[in-house]
Amino acid sequence: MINKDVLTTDYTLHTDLITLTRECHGIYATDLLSAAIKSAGHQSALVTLISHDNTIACAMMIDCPLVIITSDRMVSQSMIDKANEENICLLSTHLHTHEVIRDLLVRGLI
Amino acid sequence: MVKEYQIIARNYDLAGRASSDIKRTLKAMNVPWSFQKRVCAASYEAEINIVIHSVGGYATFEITDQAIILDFYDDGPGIPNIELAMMEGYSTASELDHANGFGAGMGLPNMKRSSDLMNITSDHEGTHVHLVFYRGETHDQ
Repeated sequence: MINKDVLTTDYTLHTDLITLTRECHGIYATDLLSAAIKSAGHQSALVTLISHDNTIACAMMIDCPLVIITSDRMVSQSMIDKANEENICLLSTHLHTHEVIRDLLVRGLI
Repeated sequence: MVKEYQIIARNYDLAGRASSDIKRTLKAMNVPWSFQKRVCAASYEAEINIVIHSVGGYATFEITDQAIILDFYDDGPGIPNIELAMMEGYSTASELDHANGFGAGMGLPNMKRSSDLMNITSDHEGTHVHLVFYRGETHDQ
């Protein structure tokens, strides 16, 4: 899926528009960054409620083109800056992690 | 080539800086993604361990024709029981560490799984983790 396909009124884009053009191959949901590093596939989207600079550092480590922060967690400016630097698309949503997965599945994106 | 990075205890904002630089270097070298992932996974875990558990330390990153060699040194307080710490799920991390997405007890096991060779020594004066990744090996996860 292309990152822009994910965007609906349920999601807020924080990073530059160019980040929407990247493509994801699969999705990985976890609140443990070690689990993402261990198990996420190449160019998977990362869905997590951990909203921290380290989330972006972790995403960069595994070549993740899309990070979705769930459950209305605040996204800091430094996260946005880091994500833009790495050309990682950063979205946030009021949806919980399992609801994001269901949403993407229902829309046929995964 | 050898690079050295300072790692500051409890500084979550700078955590991952060394591993990010290692990742960029490997990517620029066009090494296969699976190899990049192995090195970076182990590096990130080792770096975070120093941030979370130690009073600070440093890392070195060496590239030779045969291997990538990572060494992580900290100044204590050391790991009381390495065998226990190597068990997946065992953790002494704090609530703050958990809130930041760390402390799952997967650090050392992930390093061992990701690397071709891992040596760890520890006493109250500090811990040294030595990791080797042989280039050209097919140790994909």
